[in-house]
Amino acid sequence: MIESMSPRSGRVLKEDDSVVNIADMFPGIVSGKVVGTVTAQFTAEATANTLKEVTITPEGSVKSTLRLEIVNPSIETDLTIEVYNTIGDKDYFVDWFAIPKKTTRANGLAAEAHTRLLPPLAGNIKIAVSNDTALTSAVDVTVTIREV
Amino acid sequence: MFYTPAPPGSRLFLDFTRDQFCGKVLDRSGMCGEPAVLGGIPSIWIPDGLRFSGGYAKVENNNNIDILGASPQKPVCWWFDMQLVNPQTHGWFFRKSFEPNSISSQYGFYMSTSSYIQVRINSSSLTLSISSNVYSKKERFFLAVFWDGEKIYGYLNGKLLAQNTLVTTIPSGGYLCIGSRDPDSSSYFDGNIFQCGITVGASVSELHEWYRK
Repeated sequence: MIESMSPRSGRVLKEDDSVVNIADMFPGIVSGKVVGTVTAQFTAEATANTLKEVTITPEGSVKSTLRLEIVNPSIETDLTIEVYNTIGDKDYFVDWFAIPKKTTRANGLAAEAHTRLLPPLAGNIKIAVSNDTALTSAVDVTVTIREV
Repeated sequence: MFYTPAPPGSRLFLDFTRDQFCGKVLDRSGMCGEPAVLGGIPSIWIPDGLRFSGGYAKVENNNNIDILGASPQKPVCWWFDMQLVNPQTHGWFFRKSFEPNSISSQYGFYMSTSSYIQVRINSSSLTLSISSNVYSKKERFFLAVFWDGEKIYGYLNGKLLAQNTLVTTIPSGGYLCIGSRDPDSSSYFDGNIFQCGITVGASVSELHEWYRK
């Protein structure tokens, strides 16, 4: 229930006294807010297709336009990333992506961090990370969900 | 303008409906692959693809498409959205050789006149022929060849038309040539290629669902 609002400022005061900036709610506005960040840790000698599950619990309202950000510092393995949306006791499969190992492109730039667009999500976000190739060195994979 | 999202598990995704009037086609797989550089007899851009007739697109320095094996968990799929225009005896359209100009190849695909498409994996340790009258009708078609490490399947427009047993480990190879057997070969594909790519991990249904969209 909205008690008052200010058309001049473009902000809305909600009944819990929090303020919402209307502009942030338009899909064309890039918020950039981080919904959550987690790390999947792989030990040295991890066999191929070792599965690590991490969960992001969004706090407050989340925009419908989201992206996945993956940092894969490994030079040994590509990653398979599966995204699930947990609602109640069900894990809804959303999408999956192949993320390359850290490489240096022909122009000399290193590609280590990658983004992929996600469909709108509600509830907790479970992310299953697995290594496509066996590892000799430990690696920490950083997974972030960001509003865009 | 929004680009077509790559199929899940893409290792190579060349969208010839984009990058028109350029000398190269970007790899849109998201796997940081180098672009396909056009060469030879200039290929002609048509509204929805690239018309090959003696020209080629060459992909080098891309380890993502150095296919050495497959497994049920990580099946490999080579896929093509294409159309024949003028039949050739050996219309090679997608081939990754072991060495420049070598006879043998990691994997290769050619259309024999307008009667069948032949797949060759690991030199000629496997051949798979996919026959259809779609080619002679010069209709646009979607070809997908799946290999799960044990068997290889040929799908045309979503229908399974051919299969064979294939258990092998493929040695590492060289560049990929699209539209011709080799850059200086007279065995070339005379027709249109709209999109093509390689996926690892995608299922048959996932790939066809992506194509339907």
